[in-house]
Amino acid sequence: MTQTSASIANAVAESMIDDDFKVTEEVVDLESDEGQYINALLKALEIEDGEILLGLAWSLEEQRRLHCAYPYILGIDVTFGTNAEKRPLLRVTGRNTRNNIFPIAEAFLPSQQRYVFSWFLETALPTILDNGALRKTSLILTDEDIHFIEALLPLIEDKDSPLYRALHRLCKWHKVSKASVTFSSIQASRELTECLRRLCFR
Amino acid sequence: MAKLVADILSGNQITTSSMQYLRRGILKNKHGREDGESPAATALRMIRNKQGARFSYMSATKDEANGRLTLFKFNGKP
Repeated sequence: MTQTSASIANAVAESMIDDDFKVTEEVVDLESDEGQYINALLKALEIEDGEILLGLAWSLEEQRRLHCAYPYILGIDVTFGTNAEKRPLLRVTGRNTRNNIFPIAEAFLPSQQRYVFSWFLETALPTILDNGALRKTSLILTDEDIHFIEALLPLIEDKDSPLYRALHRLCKWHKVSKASVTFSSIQASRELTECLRRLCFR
Repeated sequence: MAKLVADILSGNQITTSSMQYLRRGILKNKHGREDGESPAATALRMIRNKQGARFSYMSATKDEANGRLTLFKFNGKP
């Protein structure tokens, strides 16, 4: 199942690269609005010694305590509109026995490219979370972000990774919301939508 | 700041810029942000000072970062 998902992900990625991806080099005029935006952004992200902060991941003591208590399910998603610098905020959540969601870790990301997710999953996550609890992960729920899935699948198959043998599944909320959007264009009946909802949630 | 509070108390209209000024003033008092300190440096300092927090960060030089940051639709203000 994992290999099938990986091959599909690779095929989709290759097709995207073949068809749409073109490397273009653009010189941005620093006096233009875009140039000023880039300069202001770099200034906002500057840390000591002129270095630029690209990504920052963290977890608090209480979050790690909850993760050690309920380590089996990880939900990972990226949200927007949380900060003035317009950086994506990645959130890792877990579920307790009462089916309540609690936060485990957060990260500001420079972009949603594959190397960023690889850094988060391979370097940041084992650093900020308890590795013993991380090895108990049995299910990882994400949206259908191809770059995130490509970064995650090799770790699931890697024996040295703390996420080894965890299952990856798409988040039900994303599936249901996408299905309702897709079927709204063909005016799906209420019964059909309800059937899809049951299918996704079982 | 005092002038802004006086304007508010006297019923003068609050402009967007004055709200921004007030917001910055409150954030500066709340988080102890130093003059000239960037938001990223403030975030890093807050995480370092937070007891029990673990963090990991990725940094780059200005030239490297220039091509790595996704630029979202901008309206002139980052």
